[in-house]
Parts: sequence; structure tokens; C-alpha cells
Amino acid sequence: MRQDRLKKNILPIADKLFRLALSITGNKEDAEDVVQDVYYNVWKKRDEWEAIENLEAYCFRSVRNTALDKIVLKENQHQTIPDDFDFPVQGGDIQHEMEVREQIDSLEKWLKTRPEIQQTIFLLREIEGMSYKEIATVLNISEEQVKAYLFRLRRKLKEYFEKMER
Amino acid sequence: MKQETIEQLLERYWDCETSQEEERRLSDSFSNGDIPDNAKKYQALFAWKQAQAQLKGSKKLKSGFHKTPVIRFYPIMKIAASVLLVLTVGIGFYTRYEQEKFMDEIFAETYSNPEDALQETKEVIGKVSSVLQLAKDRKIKAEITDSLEINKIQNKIK
Repeated sequence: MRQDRLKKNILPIADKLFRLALSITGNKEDAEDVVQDVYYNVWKKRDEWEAIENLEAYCFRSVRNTALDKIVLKENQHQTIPDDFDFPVQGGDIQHEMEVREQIDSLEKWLKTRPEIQQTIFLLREIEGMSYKEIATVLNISEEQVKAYLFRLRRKLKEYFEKMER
Repeated sequence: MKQETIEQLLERYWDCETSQEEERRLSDSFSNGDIPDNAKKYQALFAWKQAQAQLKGSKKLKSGFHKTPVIRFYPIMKIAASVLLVLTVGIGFYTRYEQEKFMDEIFAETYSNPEDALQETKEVIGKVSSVLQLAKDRKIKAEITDSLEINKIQNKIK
């Protein structure tokens, strides 16, 4: 039963948890450590699983908290996308590809300046495609609060792109 | 998708009024390059999203718990422990049973009347002692014969 839940619900979200940890720690090794710590602790608490309503949301919440603890200890924020990553750019124009890479780098830097909760909500929505309700469960806040944080970030993001264009 | 629709979708996106499905459509349009010129300034956002979605942890994350390998063997360990327990208890009971059986055979009651048992014991002891006496007599007799023989030989030598 527990083995089933582990295989069906917990192990398949490893990459999602890794991306959340990476967005907070900004470091691949730390992000992996975070996910492993969380998995280990979740397994230790397997007797309490019945009482946890949404195990996936619980994992996301644990990853966020563990990652936040980690960056308090270690204030290093690097880029998350590796230098050799092959960006999907239309047309195969190298100059254009370099431009997009530069834009992405500065976008990442800009995102890092936003409050952590906004960054986390942005990631869970944009990359993991979660609903407002799911994000609210993960963060233990209301759906309205989730929407308000995301609204603030998207507004700022739009301003950022408009400024970059000028 | 029509270009007007993308611009409209984008406007609603910035206002957080788009559904998850609409946001997926928007991402697809950008990754297909199916976007109007005035939306190209947002291209980096969708390229970033695409790159982020492909980031993966190492394989060991999905295989589970390298810190606690015992978990993977957990069911096997349980079975092994049960078998060991049953074997230990089983061997213990068997040994005890065999021992008791052996002792029962030795101390089994063969007489119902104690006087009969006493009589039988006396007889057995009597037999044993007469056998011993016989052996002793024979030994003395043999010793006497031997010394006589030795005397004879000595006399002859003289």
C-alpha cells in the first residue's frame, strides 16, 4: 500500500520537486540534496501518510521549506540553466540564438530579485502547470493570495519586457 | 491560431485571467514561432519556460533513497526475518521434544509393584556380584598357576 503510494505519487514528481528546489537554491547539487532529504523524511513519516490529505502538496511544501533553510545557511545564487543548454530557437540563426540566450540570462537574474514566494508561485504555475487551488494547498495560503502574488509578478514582468525593448 | 487571439491571450495572461489550458496554448504558439512581431519581445519568457521544463534531477532521485537502501530490501528482510524466527523456534521445540523422549525411555516405569522391583534389583545385583566373584576367583587361580610355573622353570635352570 505504502510502496504503491511511493511509486505512484511520490517518485514520479522527483523532477518537479527538483525544479522547485533548484529555483530556490540556484544550485543543482543543493537541489538534489533537498529532494533527497525530503524523500527521506517523508518516508520516515510513512505512518502519518493516512493523515496527510495531499501527499504531493506536502512534498512540494517540504521541498520549499528545506530549500529555504538551505539558502539561509548558504547564500549562493547561480543561474539554473546550464551554459551548454540547447535553447529551442526558430530559424537556426546563431546570432539570434545568442541574443535569446542573453535575454534569458537577464530574465533569470531579474526573476531572482523577486520575493521568493512570487518566484515559487511563478514556477509552480508556469512550469508545473498547477492550478491556483493546488498552489494554495502547497503553500498553505488562500487561492486569492496565490492569484495576487502571481498578478504582481506578471505585471512586473510585463514592465520588465517593455523596459528591455526600449 | 489567429494573431489577434495571441495578443488577446497575452493581455489576459498578464492580468492572470487565462486558464491553464490557455496558458499551455500560448506556450505552444511561442515554441512553434507562431506569434506576431509585437509579441516577439516576450519570446525569452517562453524559451525560459521551455528550458526550465526540461531540467531534470539525476536518475538516482527517481530510484528513491540512496541514503536508506534498507527500504528497497524491506519486504525481503521481513520475509527473511520471519523464516529465521520460525526456524529458530521450531528447532528449539524439536530438540526439547527429542530430549524428553530420551529421558522418558531411560526413566520409564516398568514395575507396578515396588517389591517386585526390589526383588528384581536384588537378583540383578546378585548376578553381577557372582559374576565379579567368579572373575576374581579365576584371576587368583591364574596367578597361583603362574607362580607355580615360574618356580618349576627356575628349579629346572638350577
